[in-house]
Amino acid sequence: MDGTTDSANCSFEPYRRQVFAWAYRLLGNPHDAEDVVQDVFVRWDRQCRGKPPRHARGWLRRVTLNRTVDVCRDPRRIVRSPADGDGEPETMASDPSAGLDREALRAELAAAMDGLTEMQRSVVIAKVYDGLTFAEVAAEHELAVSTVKTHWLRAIRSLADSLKEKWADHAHPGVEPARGHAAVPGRPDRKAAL
Amino acid sequence: MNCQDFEMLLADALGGELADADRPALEAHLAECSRCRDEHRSANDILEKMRAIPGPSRDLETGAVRAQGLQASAWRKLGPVLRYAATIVVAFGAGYLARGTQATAPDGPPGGRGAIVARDDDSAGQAARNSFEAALSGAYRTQPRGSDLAKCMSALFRARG
Repeated sequence: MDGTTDSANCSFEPYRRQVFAWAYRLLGNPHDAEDVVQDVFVRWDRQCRGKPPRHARGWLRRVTLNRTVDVCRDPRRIVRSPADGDGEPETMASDPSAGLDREALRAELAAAMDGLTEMQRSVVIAKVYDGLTFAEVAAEHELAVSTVKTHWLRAIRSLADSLKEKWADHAHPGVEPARGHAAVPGRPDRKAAL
Repeated sequence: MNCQDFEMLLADALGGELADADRPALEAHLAECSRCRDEHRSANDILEKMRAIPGPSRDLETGAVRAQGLQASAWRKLGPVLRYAATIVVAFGAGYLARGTQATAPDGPPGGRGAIVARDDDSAGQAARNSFEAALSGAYRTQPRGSDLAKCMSALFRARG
């Protein structure tokens, strides 16, 4: 798959797991992530009936993150903690305080992502969690590489402004670094990102 | 190198794509500029913590996605039928509510629950609408994950009752 879409191969199935993973990163529970997957699927279906997005992954990431941020903003949303049993299995098995710390980080990150533009959110998730290069992100969004880097830098600055003080109080959750990700910034392992 | 020229190097470094040839320039500027040094350190710290937030486990992802797949394919097939059915249900529900606002004859069927005598003004109808809206708000609070159709039906029955 070269990442471009036309109406002949406008299938949601190949992206479903990735959409779930994007939503789960910020929401932390599978039920909310499933709701987002369903919403994104409906939008995808509607889009494909009209003009299929040229670069499916980039379009899906933007729509997923927008919808995820909407869910986070929803005052009716019940935020589940690991104690509710909806956390991931490794959270339940590990030190509860570390689990709660990670959930607090996740919630604060989701709130900080709300302050980014749509493109900044997409670039950050693509770089941090999907392991894409600047060139790959640029191709997805049909932007120049320098523009992507500018979005990236502005996004990281905005997140740092929002989170620096809040996260200074958190113990480093490096108890269990994300799968395949090194503790120091480097290119994330792309195999583990999926 | 000034701070403005440094920005692209900083972006590359934070993105894990700094070329080896650029590393000496990056480190030289960080050594002499405290502002950029602090920004580099703080951004790295944020990125480390972001990367440490775990994604879904494979089992969770696969299981949830498998269930979602079944749900989605069924929804696709039933979508038009359900939309039609939902329209009928809402129409009947609205009519059912409206009937509750009509006057009943003194020797007519005993006023069931919710029977309201019609008045010259629309206060009874408004009361019914308020009741429905309150029930719908309650449904959204108590059933956050239920479908909108389920919430609407629940609210209709509660308001009528």
